[in-house]
Amino acid sequence: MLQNPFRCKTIIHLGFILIFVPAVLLAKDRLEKTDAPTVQTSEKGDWTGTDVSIVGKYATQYGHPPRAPYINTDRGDLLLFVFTAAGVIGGFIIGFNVRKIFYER
Amino acid sequence: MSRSVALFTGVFLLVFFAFGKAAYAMHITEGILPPRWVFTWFAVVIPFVGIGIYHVKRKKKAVPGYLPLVGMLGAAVFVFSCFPIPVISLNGMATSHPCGTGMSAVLLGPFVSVVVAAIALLIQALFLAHGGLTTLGGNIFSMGVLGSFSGYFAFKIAQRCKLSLFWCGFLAGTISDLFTYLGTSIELGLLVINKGGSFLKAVAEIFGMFMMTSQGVLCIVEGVIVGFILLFIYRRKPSILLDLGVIKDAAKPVQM
Repeated sequence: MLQNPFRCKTIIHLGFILIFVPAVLLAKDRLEKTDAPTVQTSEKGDWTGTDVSIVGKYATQYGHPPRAPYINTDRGDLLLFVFTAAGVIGGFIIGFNVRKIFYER
Repeated sequence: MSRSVALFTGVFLLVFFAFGKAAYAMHITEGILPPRWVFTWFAVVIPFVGIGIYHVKRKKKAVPGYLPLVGMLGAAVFVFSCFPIPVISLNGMATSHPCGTGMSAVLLGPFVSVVVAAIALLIQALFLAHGGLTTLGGNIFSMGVLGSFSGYFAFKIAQRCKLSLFWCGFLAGTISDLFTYLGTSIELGLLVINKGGSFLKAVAEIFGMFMMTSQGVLCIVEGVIVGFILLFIYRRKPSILLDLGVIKDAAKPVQM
């Protein structure tokens, strides 16, 4: 039995990494590409953001086209996940503080 | 514990770095600003952020409930600035996002608002593929510095003109949004200088495009939202506005 809680947690985290990372790496080659639309902020069309249609357009025109972000979450439903998570967390913080500031005595 | 968390974070970031693909997201995206302007904008905004952090430390002792208010407005600016609102505009259907820095500048002061905007933009650049790490300085300048200071001064000027609280907030929200996009236009317009183009013409063209599309409509929407938020705070707890120095006299009638 492991008595040291630090070692236990380290092993759990390492185990998680050993399972998670190869799964992500191998899954990349096995994913079948489909033409199904995904959540892409970079696509132009109806309801395109002005930041995309204007900033991207002029930056390209001036010889400095946008490139991929260093941490790119704009992949399939991952962006939907992070936006939903951000909205939930942001909403919770706003709601909690509104209650604390305006309604609690 | 901290070592394994750091290791996990490192691997997580490595996976994202390795498998990125192009995404042209909102704000000024990664790769648009050349290194010269990347360093320039960071150098410009760092003093504002430093002074803002000092103001937070000072005010949290002087104003009761200041930190929860900073937390709430920080979250609000974060949600506002990554919240694409569909608008039917001159060029058809488009989406655009408000900034929220006008509201935070009025309530927290312009320097603290810069800090709030910087944190919101950093989180968006790290996790939401919005903006970018190299363009963070530029985005903080347009949304944080220009948005906050223009909104704050618009509010103060409107108060001097004895406008009601709603209209003061309306002007703060609208002007801050206008100046944010003017800042973005200036940053993009500076790119033409080395190419022999006209800076002023480029800025006017880009800013005109922003305003003719959904952003023009959204400036007004943001102004209305800020006006109603200030009215809500005044009616619910006017002591907050008094403590923050937004209004001088709680007994003075505030009308639409």
